[in-house]
Amino acid sequence: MEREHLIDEDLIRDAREGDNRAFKELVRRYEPVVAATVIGMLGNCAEAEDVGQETFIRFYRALKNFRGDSSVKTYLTRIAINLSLNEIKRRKRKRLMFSQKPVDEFHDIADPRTRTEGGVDPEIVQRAVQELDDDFRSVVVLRLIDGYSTAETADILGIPLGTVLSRLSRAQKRLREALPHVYGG
Amino acid sequence: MNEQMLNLLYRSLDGELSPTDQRRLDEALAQSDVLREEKDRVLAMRESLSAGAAQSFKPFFAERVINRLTAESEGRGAETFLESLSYVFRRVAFAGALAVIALAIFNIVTSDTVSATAALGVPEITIEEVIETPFESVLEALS
Repeated sequence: MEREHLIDEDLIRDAREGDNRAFKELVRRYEPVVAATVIGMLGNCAEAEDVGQETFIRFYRALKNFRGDSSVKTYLTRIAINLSLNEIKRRKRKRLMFSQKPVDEFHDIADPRTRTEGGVDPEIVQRAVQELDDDFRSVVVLRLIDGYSTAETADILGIPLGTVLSRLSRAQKRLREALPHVYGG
Repeated sequence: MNEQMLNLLYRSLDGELSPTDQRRLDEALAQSDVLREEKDRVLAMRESLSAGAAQSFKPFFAERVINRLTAESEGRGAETFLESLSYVFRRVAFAGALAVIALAIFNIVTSDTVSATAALGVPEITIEEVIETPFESVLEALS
């Protein structure tokens, strides 16, 4: 059977019954969502791939209990963002333990050469996002990269809507400050 | 640039402003070139954030996830076998210990003395007897 044409509920039902091909189709279908969240939070690194895989493994283990109260996309994003935040904490502990400094310094981001004729280098913007505090970064990733509404962002992070709005506002200001040469000003 | 207007501008992009705040912002935007430019910059930044979002991991990501799942389930199969083996072993060991205790009690009850030798049910024998007996048996067999 062509699994690409099946709806999520059918794929989930088949995956629960042990059909790995159905689950593989779910992974293919939602890889962009998880990749955007995890890479947005952690950057494009080996840990991001691990967290991405772990997100789907956790989803697979939770299939029996998945009742569809939220969409698969939201469910996966919630797992991905929590695992990413755990990974960030782990990195911080490691940095503290070994007194490591962050690889990239903030001033490197605001390089005038980052504004190209074809537009802005997304990697530079991504690096600026990486420099934000975890709380700010998670709202930026969910709202501005993943495209969730502010209400959905609040729901996924389990914080009040007002907090999302104020964090977004402050995060954007910080990004603007970090990228003066990219966006002018 | 008016900090309050800047805040209203940022909030207007993510949440609905009250009619009063919206009117204030609109008026400020109409009067201030700087605020309008700032709005354009923030919109450009937001656009590049969403446009630059990663869409995938390295190729064959789905295959790697399935391989990991398969490996984990095989690992769990081995774990289940070991757990079963350990479960059976504990029960056999417990039953064996009970049998040894029962046999020791039986030996003590059926013998005249209460001693470790009686409990084990073996005849009293010295180390010399242990060493000499086989040698004598060998000599007898040869003669």
